[in-house]
Amino acid sequence: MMEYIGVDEGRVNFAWVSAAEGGRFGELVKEVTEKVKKLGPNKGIVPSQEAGCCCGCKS
Amino acid sequence: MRMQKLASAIQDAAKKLLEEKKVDLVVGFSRGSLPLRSTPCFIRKPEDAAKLTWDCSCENNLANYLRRRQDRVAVVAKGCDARSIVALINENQIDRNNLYIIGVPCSGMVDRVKVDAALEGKDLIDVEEKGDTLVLKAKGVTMEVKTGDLMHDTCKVCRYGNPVVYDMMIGDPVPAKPEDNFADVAAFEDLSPAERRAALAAEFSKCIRCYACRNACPMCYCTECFVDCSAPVWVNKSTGTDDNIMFQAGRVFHSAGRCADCGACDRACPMGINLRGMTRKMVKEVKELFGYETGVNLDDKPALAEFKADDPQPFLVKE
Repeated sequence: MMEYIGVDEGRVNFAWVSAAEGGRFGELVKEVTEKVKKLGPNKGIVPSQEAGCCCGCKS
Repeated sequence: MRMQKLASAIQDAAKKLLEEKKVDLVVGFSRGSLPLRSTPCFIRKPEDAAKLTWDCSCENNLANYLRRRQDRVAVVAKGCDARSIVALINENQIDRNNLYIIGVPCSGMVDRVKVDAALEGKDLIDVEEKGDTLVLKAKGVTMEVKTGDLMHDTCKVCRYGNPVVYDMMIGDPVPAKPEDNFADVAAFEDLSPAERRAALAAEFSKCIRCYACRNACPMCYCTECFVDCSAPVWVNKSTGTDDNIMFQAGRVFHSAGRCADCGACDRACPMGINLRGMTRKMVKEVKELFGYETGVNLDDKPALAEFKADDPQPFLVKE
């Protein structure tokens, strides 16, 4: 669904990690960070000229 | 003519139910003040049953009025209403024992936007049903249009025109239709992310955040909706295009496995936003992943209320 509304493929990641698996969590975060860094800055969900500021105004 | 017969059969049924005190209230449709504007109507006295009607503009999803009621209610339900009713029964929002369902097979409701387009903006004065065509009358114009061409897009792909649950069926069942292939969703999926962003931005820049979509939805019944909550602010209340998209995406997530694709949200939208473009993505996803269709069977457990060890999880990070 996130990809459907225009978020780049691979930017939304889900994983299941137990609270006891610290090592695995670290590795996953590293992996995902690498992956997302490769994708570059987030292009958002609307083309940049359309997006307003956080309050919704167009400035 | 066929519609008038159905209407009088509904009136008779409602009158009888109220006279025999089997129900306290009948929820159905009455004539609106304009043609093709039938409106939900609530009948408590047998003598008022004559107000009930049935035609090709009874588009509201009446399941919306049936949640958490203490009284015994009868409802005039077409296919999509019945599916939403089943979904609400499964979520314990409706007590089946207190609900009498007057099922009416539905071959689709007429989209007033399409009528307006056919009349090129002229005001509709009168409408007459003639076989499978509608005779539209406006000032200086009379035209005959195939009812099928004027139908809501949601009705065109609906496979459940015949109510899946009912206590009484009025009218003849409608013929079965082929499986919905979600061609519209697939076409949108095939666009590039940038194209999808642009298309959605164009669509959702129109949103005025009136929440009519939410209010029309029988499945949106949280006492406090995430969009109304101000601590924390789950989603901005302003009408920025990105916030509008996030609002709708949130709503769609909340209706995962619960949306019967009745199109009530889409019809309620005063800005004419194609909301089904989003809602149907979730309907497709749930059907493909879990083989689940909302509200088609009383014994089905809702997709989100069931867990299987072999549930597909293609969304997990590949390791």
